[in-house]
Amino acid sequence: MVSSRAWGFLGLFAVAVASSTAQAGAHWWDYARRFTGENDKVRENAIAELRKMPDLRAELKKALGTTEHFLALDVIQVLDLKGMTNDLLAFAEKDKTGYSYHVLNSLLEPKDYARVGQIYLERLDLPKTAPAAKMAILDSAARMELTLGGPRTERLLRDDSPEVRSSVLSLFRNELLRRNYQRGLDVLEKTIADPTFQIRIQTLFLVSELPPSLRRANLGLIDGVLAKCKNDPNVSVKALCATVTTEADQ
Amino acid sequence: MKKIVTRPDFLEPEGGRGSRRRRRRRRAIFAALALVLLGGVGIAIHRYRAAHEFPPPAFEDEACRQTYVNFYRNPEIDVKVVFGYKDARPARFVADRYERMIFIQRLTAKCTKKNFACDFVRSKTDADLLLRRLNGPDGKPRTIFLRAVPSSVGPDDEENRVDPFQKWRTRYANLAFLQGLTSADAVIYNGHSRAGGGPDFAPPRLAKDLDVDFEWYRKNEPGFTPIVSTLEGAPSRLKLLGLYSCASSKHFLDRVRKVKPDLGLITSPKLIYFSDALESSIESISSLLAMKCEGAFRHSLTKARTRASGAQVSGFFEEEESAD
Repeated sequence: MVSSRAWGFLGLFAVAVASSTAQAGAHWWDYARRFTGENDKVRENAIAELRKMPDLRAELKKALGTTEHFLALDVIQVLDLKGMTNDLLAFAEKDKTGYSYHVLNSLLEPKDYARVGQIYLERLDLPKTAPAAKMAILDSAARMELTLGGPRTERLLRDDSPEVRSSVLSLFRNELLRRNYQRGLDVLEKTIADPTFQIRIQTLFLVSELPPSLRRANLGLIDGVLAKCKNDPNVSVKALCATVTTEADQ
Repeated sequence: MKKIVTRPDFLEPEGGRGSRRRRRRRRAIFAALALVLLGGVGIAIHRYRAAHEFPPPAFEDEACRQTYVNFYRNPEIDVKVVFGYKDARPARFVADRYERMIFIQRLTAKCTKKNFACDFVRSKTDADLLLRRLNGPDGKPRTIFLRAVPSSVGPDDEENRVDPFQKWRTRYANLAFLQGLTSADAVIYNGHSRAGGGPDFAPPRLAKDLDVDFEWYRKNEPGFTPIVSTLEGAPSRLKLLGLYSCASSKHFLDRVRKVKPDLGLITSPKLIYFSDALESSIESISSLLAMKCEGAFRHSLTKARTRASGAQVSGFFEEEESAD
């Protein structure tokens, strides 16, 4: 007859086997899903388990571009796997989602900005770079304080994707208002004539934000921009144009 | 004096072998042109027929057919996909613009195999508008007007809060969503639930610890209250509302049902990862365009790429009337 103590040990043994089996069955993506929407303890436990996985980097590299792409990027970011920077930089070139750039940016240090920034700018010139990737690069340029330069700006303002053109305008705003970058406002002359009304609206809001000194130094250009939108076929653009013009006159 | 007519040496005398050859060549050219013309006319007729007289899809049952007869009632089908303000508080990163761009890249890609959420064409004047033509359940053409609307103006929540363009974007997205509840055929929201106080198209209200003030959202329901008043206040042509946000089944399903019992809903009982929500919303659009019946529609939301979202469709497919 088995004693109660023996049953107890058997029970504990069964629990230990069950839990180690469960752990052995969990894949890296199971832990990655616990980063979102769970409490801190669950999240920390998931991070700890991932750190224990011996071939994690190889698995994550394989997962890029597959259905687990975003989860892999999340893991790289959360675990701060700086050693994967070069893998990510290489993969980002063909990543149509652009999300590799977001994660790359979280891994970079300011000393990397010049070298990596140059690669980013060159990729903006490649026809195969997807619009989502161009958006990510342009947004990164603001953070990394990169400058597009005149010819690249003009080329990107002719991009087929309105999101790319909008991101160029956002970067321009960042340069003017946050970096005090002294440059002409000729970008606004182009964007007020953009075929999509949303970019014309964005332009007018930027005009409304211009500091008085910049406005005074570019009075003729701004008057020209406001003259172009005065009879805009889009009702919202026309109304905003009237508002901005009135504010400018005051 | 007799006029001497000289002919160049290289020309055969008239009525000779050369002129017969030329006549044959001319006949061959005319025949080839006629064939090309006939072929072109044939292709044009075939295309016209394909667009206008294409046989309707075979539906599994009458309920399914009625669902799509109802959905495709009008020649212009209005679909709104509104991406809520996708902050990642307490981090500053805001992601809805990027998710929307991936969505648009997928919808404008060439159709392959069995995916119907494809071959959309972008408007040149409206950055949010995508169009596609297809045949309805009666075989006659329809035009899908799909608007993909973002909520944020940039990737930095702190910067967005001080950008006057952000207020305009928030208002525009909010209006697109609420107007869609009465005037669209399908509306999809892909964003935050804000603990049941959503949907939300604005930078979130923050608590003292700079995280989202969920308590305030739960108490005030700034996003949900307008849904109720809109659905209660006006007649609606909406047939399907997709709420791709965390635990939307728990937060919104019963409350929307109470206000509009006949509305089809797609919700998720789970915390939903952003790429799962994106895949699932693309799949639901594909299923609508493919006119999938209930079983296939449900299956499409539980395929490998979409299963993790946990999205479930309810109330969209009409009950068959019993033959008493």
